Amino acid sequence: MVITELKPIEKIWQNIADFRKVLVLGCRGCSGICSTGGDREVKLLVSALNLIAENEGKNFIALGQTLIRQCDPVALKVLPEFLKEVEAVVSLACGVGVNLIADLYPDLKVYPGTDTLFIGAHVGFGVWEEKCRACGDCFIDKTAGLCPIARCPKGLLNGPCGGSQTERCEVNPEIPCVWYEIIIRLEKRGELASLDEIIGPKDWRLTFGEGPRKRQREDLTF
Amino acid sequence: MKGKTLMFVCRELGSEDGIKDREDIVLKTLDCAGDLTVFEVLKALEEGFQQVFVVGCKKGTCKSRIGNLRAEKRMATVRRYLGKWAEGYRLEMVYLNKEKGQTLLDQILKA
Amino acid sequence: MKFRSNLERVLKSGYMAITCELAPPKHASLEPLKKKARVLKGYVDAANITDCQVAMVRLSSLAGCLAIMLEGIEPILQMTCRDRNRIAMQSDLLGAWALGIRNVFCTTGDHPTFGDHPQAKPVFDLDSVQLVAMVNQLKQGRFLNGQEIKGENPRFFIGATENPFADPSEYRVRRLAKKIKAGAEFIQTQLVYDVTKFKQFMYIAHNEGLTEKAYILAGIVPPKSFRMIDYIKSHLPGSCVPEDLVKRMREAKDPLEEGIKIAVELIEQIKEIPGVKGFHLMAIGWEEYLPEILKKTGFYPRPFSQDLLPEDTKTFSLREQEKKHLEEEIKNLKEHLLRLESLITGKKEIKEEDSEKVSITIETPKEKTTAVVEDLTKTSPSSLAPAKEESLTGEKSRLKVLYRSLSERAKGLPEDLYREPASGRIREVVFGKGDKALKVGGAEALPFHSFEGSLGQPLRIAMEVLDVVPEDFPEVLAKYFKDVWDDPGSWAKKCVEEYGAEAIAVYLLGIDPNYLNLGADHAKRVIEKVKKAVDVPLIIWGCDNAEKDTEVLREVAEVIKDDNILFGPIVEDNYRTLGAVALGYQLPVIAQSPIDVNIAKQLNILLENLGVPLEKIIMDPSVGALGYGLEYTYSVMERIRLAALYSNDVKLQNPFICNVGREVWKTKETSLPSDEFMGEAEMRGVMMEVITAVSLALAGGELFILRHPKSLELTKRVLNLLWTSSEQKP
Repeated sequence: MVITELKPIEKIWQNIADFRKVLVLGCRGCSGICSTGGDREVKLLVSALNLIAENEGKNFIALGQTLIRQCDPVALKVLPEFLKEVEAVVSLACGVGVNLIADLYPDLKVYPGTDTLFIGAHVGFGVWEEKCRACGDCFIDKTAGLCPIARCPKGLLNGPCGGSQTERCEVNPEIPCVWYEIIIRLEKRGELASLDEIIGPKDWRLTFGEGPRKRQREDLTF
Repeated sequence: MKGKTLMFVCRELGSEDGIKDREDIVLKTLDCAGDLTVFEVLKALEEGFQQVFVVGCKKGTCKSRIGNLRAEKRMATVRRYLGKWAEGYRLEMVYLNKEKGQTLLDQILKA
Repeated sequence: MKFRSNLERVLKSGYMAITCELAPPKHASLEPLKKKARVLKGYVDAANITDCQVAMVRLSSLAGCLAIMLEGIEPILQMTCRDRNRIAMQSDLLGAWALGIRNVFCTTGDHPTFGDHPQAKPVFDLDSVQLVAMVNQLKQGRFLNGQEIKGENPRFFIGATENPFADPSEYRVRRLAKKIKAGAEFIQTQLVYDVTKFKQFMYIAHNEGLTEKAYILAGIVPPKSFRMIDYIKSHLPGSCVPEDLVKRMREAKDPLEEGIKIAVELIEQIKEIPGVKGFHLMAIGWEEYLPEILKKTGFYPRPFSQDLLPEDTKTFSLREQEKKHLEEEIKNLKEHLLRLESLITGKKEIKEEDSEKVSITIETPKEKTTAVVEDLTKTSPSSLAPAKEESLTGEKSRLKVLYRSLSERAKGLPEDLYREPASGRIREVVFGKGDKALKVGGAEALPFHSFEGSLGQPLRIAMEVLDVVPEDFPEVLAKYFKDVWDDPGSWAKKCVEEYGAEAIAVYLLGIDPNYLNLGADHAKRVIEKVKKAVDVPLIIWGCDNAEKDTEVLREVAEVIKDDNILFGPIVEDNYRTLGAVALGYQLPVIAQSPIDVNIAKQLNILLENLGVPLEKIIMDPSVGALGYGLEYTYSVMERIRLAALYSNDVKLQNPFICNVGREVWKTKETSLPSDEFMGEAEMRGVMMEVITAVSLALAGGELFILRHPKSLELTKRVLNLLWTSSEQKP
């Protein structure tokens, strides 16, 4: 899923301080699942914003709503129903939600309430880790299913670098050296020789593209 | 002490007459300090309380093991949601050692 | 062969290479780099200029390379993948080649978070393996995208790194293989402190054949203080510092001195590891100590350092007056050489027009007017000895007149400019018995450098006797021995009594399994005969087949045990058995190494460990004849001797034996007939033998085995002249 984190409250407030009515819009997709923008967090942010407004002596009211997701126009269809007298929206979805709302409702002022961090997995209570960088050209079939682009700070394709010791990463000793793990696993499988082949330079167009990347599945388009 | 005070107190610690008598202090008893929710605290502040104390058992004596510690983290979350505006309130976690004869009031007045 | 760079030349010529690392400053001036370069000039073969090491902003590697190039040090451009994408890297590579940079060192680079701009975007468009492959592709004339380079393409000497100590250690050699496969030609390893672990790494790499495919230089960081080594141990990812080393630095009274000692020890140990082709010294800010370390380990001077200097700075810069003095001396030297030539050959001297300027008058040799070869054949054997004596003393006295003392010739120059006394001494080895026993070695200075110390025992010349009738002697050689060569005893007698051999080398050619494959009994018989015939010391030389030599020499030892006869050659493959034989009978031995400093030393150590005292070992460095690798032998002997004398390497302080005759007389040139183009056949062969012998004497040889009687005579004469003239102290 896409991992997000609540922005510092001061930054959120800065954008909406001068409005009178603001909708905090949650998302039950990734953002809800990683406890950044689900129903519970919407309630908290609404309450906090109202308190801040009171402290600042502003004529302000925050409302809350949560959609099943914000990255789909179908799910966003109901949004206008919640917008009565609302002057701005703070989205607690990932950056995709904010963008799509802005695309679909050009006249609506929509602000991000979260920072979108990475594509990752829930690896322990309250802990999420990056596992994929969406490079557009997956080659982890060669690396025992572990992605060095996402999980090696230098993104080495022919690792490990000369710094790994005691199986930890030299850049960040908190994390294991992913190349160490790749090698151990391939060795166990008896496939270490597959690494003797030099993995060639990556085609970064698939990652950075020419502008936003697009996927089209012909049998679903009209 | 200024303004209204709300106290969330763990049932284990019992209630104290000295507090019951005071008009500026509202006492809410929880089965365990760990039952406290972030939302409850924010709501209380919205209702006009200036000070919120959460009173849990001394570290290591919580009957649900880490309920008291959890309560402290929840208070930290409250502060995070309020950012710099949290400074305008007194939001505190108090660990009370009944055996030493500490009383709630002592703790609060001392603070 | 044309070399792209000096580093390549050094490595491919068989030398161990020395490189170092220089960090550009954190400001916009080249001065600090130039200063460091001046300190290291002549001490290293090339220097890496780092590319913003540890991700700190520094002056660019390319600019730094240019700066040290102008100072006479060959640069190695370091290129990391951290800051440039493939476009920028290829662009810089084109530029570097155009500017004359010929070595490039490819590495991934430290992550920006280690450096002073941790906020920077890490590029890592390529990784180090891909970078190596890209530089290699440019060499083939293609850009990374496959397009042809139309015009000059950069053909860098490509380097890469590997850390033998990082995890997973078992995979390190495989990754090294990957880099070599990608095109790396030389490898500079990360810093090595743990020799045992490094040895394991090298062992695997060697077995995998990687040391044949790329030159591996071991990374050395001389520890400067306890703090530094402690920091490396705890902070540097992938370093491996043994505890006792940390302890030594912690307890050192003078950490600087201890650090140098440690570096020297590391180098001494590591250079013995098979496959190590040199050292990469990373002195991190105290480059000024590198010369000392390099001198102590015998890596100074560097083989081709003179060629690196820019044209205009190649001449020795002195004040005007000193220059004039030098010019004068060079002119004198030329005249001396002419005179020497006339003395040796008996040819009439060609006087130069301005020779009257020289204050010394020259006596023209009275007798010899024809070439020495003819002259000597006319001399009857019986009259040879006294005549020789007379002519030698005559020459000596003439030389005395000619000789101008060093202090005179060098006046105006400070003494420490030309005088560099050695710290070591060559051992004296005795072979033979009684008053005929010969002593060789004992030098405390380089050959004929008597102004720097004692030259030790005189040089000795032996003649060779074969155990069977030789089949391949050219006629010009065979004619002297035909009458005696079916009896080794008479042959030896003739060599000693007629030709003045000081020792006899018995060459057991007949035992060669690829030739007659005769047994030990044959060898014993031959030796007995020779022993009976002459009373000079003997040298027994096997057939150079390690296995057969072991078999035969083991038995031969019983025959020679009481006469302290020198025998060999002992090589790595048979040192155990033959070493034990030598130990058992207390015999002196010849330790033979294949023109290799490291193996020579290794063999001495192995023999010593076995119990053979170093005082019983004469080294045979393996000899190449003139035109057949003489210069190779020369430089290896020179290196051994320099290490022995100037680095006080006790394991190399042994005299040399040079088996010259055999090598010379098997060359094609010695068996070609006389003709106009090649000249007179006998003179040709003799001169080849003499030049080889004299050259090796200049490299440090002490005991020579020759074949031709005239070679012996002429060599003796030249060596005597050099010896006598150099013995007159300034």
